[in-house]
Amino acid sequence: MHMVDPRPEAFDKLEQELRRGVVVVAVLSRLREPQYGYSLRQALAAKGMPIEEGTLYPLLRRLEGQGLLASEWRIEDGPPRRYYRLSAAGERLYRDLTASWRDLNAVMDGLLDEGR
Amino acid sequence: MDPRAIIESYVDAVIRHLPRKQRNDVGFELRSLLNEELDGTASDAGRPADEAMVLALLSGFGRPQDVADRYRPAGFTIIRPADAPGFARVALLGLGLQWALTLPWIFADPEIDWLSRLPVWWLSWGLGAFWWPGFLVVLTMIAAWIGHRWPRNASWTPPRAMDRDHVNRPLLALGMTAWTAGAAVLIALPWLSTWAPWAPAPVVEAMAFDDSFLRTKAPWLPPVWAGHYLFYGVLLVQGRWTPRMRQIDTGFSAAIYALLIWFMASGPVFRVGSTDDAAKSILAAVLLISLIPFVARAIRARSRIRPPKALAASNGA
Repeated sequence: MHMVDPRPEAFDKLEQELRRGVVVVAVLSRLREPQYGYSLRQALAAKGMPIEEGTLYPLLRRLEGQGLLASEWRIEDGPPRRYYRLSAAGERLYRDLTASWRDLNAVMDGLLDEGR
Repeated sequence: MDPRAIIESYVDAVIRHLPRKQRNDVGFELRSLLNEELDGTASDAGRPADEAMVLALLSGFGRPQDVADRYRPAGFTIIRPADAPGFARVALLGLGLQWALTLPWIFADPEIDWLSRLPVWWLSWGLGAFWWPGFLVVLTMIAAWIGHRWPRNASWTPPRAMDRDHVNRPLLALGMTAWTAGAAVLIALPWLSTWAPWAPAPVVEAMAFDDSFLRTKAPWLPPVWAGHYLFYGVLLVQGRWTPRMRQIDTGFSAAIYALLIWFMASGPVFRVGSTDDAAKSILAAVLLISLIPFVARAIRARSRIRPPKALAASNGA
């Protein structure tokens, strides 16, 4: 009987979940300086963290709705653009999440090293 | 087709699913971002933006409804995944029960033309039965909203009735007292005119047992009752159920049910027809109600945690 290897599909799904967990931290990390949606996506992609536009743009609005980002419209060298940056609450959350991420990373490194 | 017009149409489709006050702001930003994405893609490809390019971009962005969902903050769950199978069962059972009851009834109605029966049923009871799932959904929505508005933060506590083998002695004693009184009244009923001479003659007449019932069937009941009563006396002293005690209880109950069904199915119990009908209706109701604990016990037994099959097999081997 021909068996289909289930790994690629499972891998894609689980990897997506793994990335979903860090998307917010990644986005917050780039917003200490004001960025608009497209430039933020480019900046993240340049650092090896490509995020689909359909995920990123709504996420920015949701984070703003939660009071973690502040935004303003600017007209510079092109069409009007909405620039986002961390609010005071966003700064605090970013610091806390960064600390959590580092702890988690250390724990995971320990676990994965033992598993070798 | 003009790529910008496609983006415009896509943005319209997205914001249509958003709250009115959000639409303009999100629409303006989304259009600007998609145009920039398109310019970026065209620049990377080294050719002007075209229809295929914009459709590929929008396809990656997602269906407008899905994109609109991502813009909305997380809402509250109306039916939790754990409750969904139970909800579906109750909804379908209620629907099926109504149909099962009303369909034969309408087909038995001689006043409705045979060919019209199904359409008449469907346009009345058939469609009308959908009130039940709708009613359940509304109740669930209200419960979900209350749960969302005032979340329960209290930690889990074990239910009081966790020890199912424990016998509630005061309750059992109360039940036995009520039972004694009821049985005494029924056993003394044939001599009603003697111990209640003040009772009006029509009442005495209405309460008179059928002679054949008294002679051939009634004598079977007191010994079974007495045995069951004694059994409960023992249970009251012991204060705990054991598997054997449950088997004996089930045996006595089954004997009583068999007698009651026999009484109902074979001939009159009372001389007067109206009393007989009323008594049999009450007996049927008592039978149904007394079956509830057995059904509950069977459901509990089914849902009891058992060792997995593989483990049971290896233990048995």
